[in-house]
Amino acid sequence: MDAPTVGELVRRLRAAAAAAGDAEYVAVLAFDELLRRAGPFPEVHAALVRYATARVGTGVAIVGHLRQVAEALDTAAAELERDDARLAGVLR
Amino acid sequence: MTTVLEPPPLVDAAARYRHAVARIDDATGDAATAWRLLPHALDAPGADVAVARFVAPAHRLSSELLGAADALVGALLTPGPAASWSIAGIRGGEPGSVALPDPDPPRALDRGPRTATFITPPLPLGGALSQLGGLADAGAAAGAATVAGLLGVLGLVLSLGGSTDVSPPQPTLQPPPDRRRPRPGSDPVRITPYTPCNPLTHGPGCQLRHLGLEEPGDRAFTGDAVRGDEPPGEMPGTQPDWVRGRARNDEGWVYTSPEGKSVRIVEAGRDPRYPNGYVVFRNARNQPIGMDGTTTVPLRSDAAHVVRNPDGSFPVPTGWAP
Repeated sequence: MDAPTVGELVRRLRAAAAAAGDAEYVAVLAFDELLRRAGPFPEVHAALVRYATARVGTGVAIVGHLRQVAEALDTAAAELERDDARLAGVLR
Repeated sequence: MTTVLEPPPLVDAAARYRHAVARIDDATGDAATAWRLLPHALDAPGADVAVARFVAPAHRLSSELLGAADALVGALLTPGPAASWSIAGIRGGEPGSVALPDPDPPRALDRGPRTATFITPPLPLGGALSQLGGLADAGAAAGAATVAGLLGVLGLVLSLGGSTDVSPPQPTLQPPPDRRRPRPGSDPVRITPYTPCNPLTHGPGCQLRHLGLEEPGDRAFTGDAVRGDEPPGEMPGTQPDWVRGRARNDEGWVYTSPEGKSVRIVEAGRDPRYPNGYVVFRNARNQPIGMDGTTTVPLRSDAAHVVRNPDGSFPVPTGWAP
């Protein structure tokens, strides 16, 4: 594959972030479906809710971690793009 | 009397969840691969900093999430009577059992010229409970912050008695439905910034486009009504006991309730589509919600972005009870 430019790298990062975001949304919906199917079994349902939302102190629930992945990729793209723009003199 | 569960529906649903998490991991793998293609001579000083701060941790985190999802499926695959599905059988939330990672604090970019040659070491993926040892080793090598995250996720991992030494069979996975693209007519509101809509046909979400007398961007942002960094309780949609924190991307503030609901304020000028900024409301399960206060919407859809007015104000979803 040809050596990418920074712009191409940013594009690929944003595509990865979008894919992660889409998958995050599907994962959340799938977990909703799992909760619905566990509805007849209160103990299982309660345990699944704790699995998804458990947090301690300032920690983040597992559903929050799902979101963090896409955001991290997006942020990486933004940082690289911003840095590249600074080098190019577009930003100051 | 023992009631026997019918696990297939549960297992199938869990498998779909696991499949989606695997797609997240695939995405981070793609991102990590993209960095490897950078030519060594490329003068991109922020590249290795960005990959070290965001891409590599995202890859590790997604791998950990996949491991936890594997364990979830494995636990649900374990047949047994209802009595064995005890609360202790699916763990998470017990004091001391979860130490999920905090976001890394922003650091200043090193402005010195460097080559971008960072390569993310691959983590072992696939399998189920047998993967956990490998993940633990990878986490230990990745530093204290990652270990905290690893332990946090592993603390959530399911475990049923007698199941941890057996690699459960994998269910037959079917591609999950693409719910981001609903069938025509099934999507109640599709809102595009700056595109007027008819509230009689598009529902209450239309009010997003009818807040101001002019389109966003026609007037300079003043923030006279809502600056965007008000303390919890003063920020619309929040209460005094909420916690305010800077967004990971440094483009605004996130207010989080004790129950996990959140209001994210994105500052003016950060996104050209929203010159006055926008707001994202999330329920206690971190799902973005629409203007009706109950319907979940895709994060990257316009429906999740509540447009701010030039004075910084914004509407709060109907029924939003901070």
